[in-house]
Amino acid sequence: MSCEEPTTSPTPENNITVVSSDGKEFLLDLKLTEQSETLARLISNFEYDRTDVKKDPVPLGNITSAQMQKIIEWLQHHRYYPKWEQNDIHYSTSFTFETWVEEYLNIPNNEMFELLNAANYLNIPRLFSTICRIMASRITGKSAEQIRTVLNIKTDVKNDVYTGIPIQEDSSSSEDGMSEISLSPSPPPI
Amino acid sequence: MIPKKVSRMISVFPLFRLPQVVLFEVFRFLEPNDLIPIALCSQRAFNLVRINWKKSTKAAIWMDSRLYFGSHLKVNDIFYNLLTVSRIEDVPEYYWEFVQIKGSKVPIGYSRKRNSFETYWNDVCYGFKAVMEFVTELFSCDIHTVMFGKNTFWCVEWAQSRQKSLMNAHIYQNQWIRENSEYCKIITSCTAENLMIHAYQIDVMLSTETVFRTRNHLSIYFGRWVQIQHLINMDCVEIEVKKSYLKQSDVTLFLKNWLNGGNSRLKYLSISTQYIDIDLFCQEEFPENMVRSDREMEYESERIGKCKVPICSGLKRKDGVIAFIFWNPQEHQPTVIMSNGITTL
Repeated sequence: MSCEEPTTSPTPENNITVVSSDGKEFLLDLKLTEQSETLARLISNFEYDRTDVKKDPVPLGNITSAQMQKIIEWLQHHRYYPKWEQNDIHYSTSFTFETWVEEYLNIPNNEMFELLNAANYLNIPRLFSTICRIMASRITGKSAEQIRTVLNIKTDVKNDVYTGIPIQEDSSSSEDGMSEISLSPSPPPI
Repeated sequence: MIPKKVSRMISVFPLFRLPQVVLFEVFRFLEPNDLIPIALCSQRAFNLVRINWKKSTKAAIWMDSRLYFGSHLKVNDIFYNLLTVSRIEDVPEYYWEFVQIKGSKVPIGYSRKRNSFETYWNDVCYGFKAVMEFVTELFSCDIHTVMFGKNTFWCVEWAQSRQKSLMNAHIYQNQWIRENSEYCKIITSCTAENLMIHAYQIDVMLSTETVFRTRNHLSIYFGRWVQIQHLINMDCVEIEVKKSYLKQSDVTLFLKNWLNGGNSRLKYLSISTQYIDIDLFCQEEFPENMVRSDREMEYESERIGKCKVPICSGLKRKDGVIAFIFWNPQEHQPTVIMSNGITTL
């Protein structure tokens, strides 16, 4: 196992170790973990913010080392930002983003998808909301066919010629490779 | 040096594999008109949009058949153009694709002119109904308002037949209704809570025996046909009549009828007459019932908006309800507002 340090070097007293799904360890400053509601709750539950408590590494079975690296980059950039409030002045529904955010999220859609899942799993609201907004910006203004391509949706429009009259419904249509949507998106236990 | 051509594969974002809470968050950032092409991708996409869009209690679907067949969603005074319907012959040469709407496969393209996705149908009436079914199901709302023209009253009839109630039916001033029967049909068979007939007409003659439907609001822009008996027969909360030939004596008759318990649901009346000096009128015609308000008040409703009631004369009925009467400077006609309809004192 390797151990990667973020740019600010945390001391053992003010950090925890998280372990990605591929076994890589990351030292995380407790200040950074405040942005993740999942980690913050865990730290509070296990009293890892106390210096006299032994801190076991936290396994993050759903997050790869590449995703964790990306997430740490986000956490460090937003280290001194005020706590995220959904309805505060920092919240925006517009599709204009900071230059840093645009560069940070200038990644392929499949990586974005994984990062969004990770942000949801770790409950990092600012990152989660920003990716959702970016995704919405990539959908807006597109036609059904363009959206099908971006979102990998298989059409269920029949291939027969246009008739202008109702055509027979076929209930067997569904997207290839699409799993059923989870109605209770509770993350697996850490 | 010629740059090397790089072919880049489009990476996909399998949105519908996301947990519902995430999907809801993505949809929250999209406007209703952005949700339409997503819903048109597949039946499953339609269902996911229907379940996850952030529904507003103030969302209202409009069916507009005045200049073209269009569906709109109004949320908090913002109109979103959803889908429009055109004839199949009008399919443009520029890019278009096929989608399936309520079981019909139809071409669709983006219309800059209408700022909306436009669908093309062999039978536009059928197509418009299918599109309205599509949007009402997608946004889980009934049709709230139908804007119709003299040849598209069928839209009102269809909307009435498909849902429990219709809130607004509206025919605009740019329409001419020449046939008496057409006008009567609108008046008598439209069940909308609020009916606004602003179309021009000249020769309409409605029998004074006409039975008017009970409704919340009736607005008649060209009210030359309106006689006092018509007015007495209108069982509405709000009545607006413009360009009528009603006289001061008609107003007297109407108010006498109201004092005797007629038009019991009425809270707002605005009728065009020749100028009336209201204070003098009340004093001369209703000396026993005349009262005077001591402060400004306000009447507010969805159709009328906010209407200031100045300090003015009023007529008190036996049950204590007062009809405040004043010359409305904006409408240039007398306005009567009942004390049980006053919203701000």
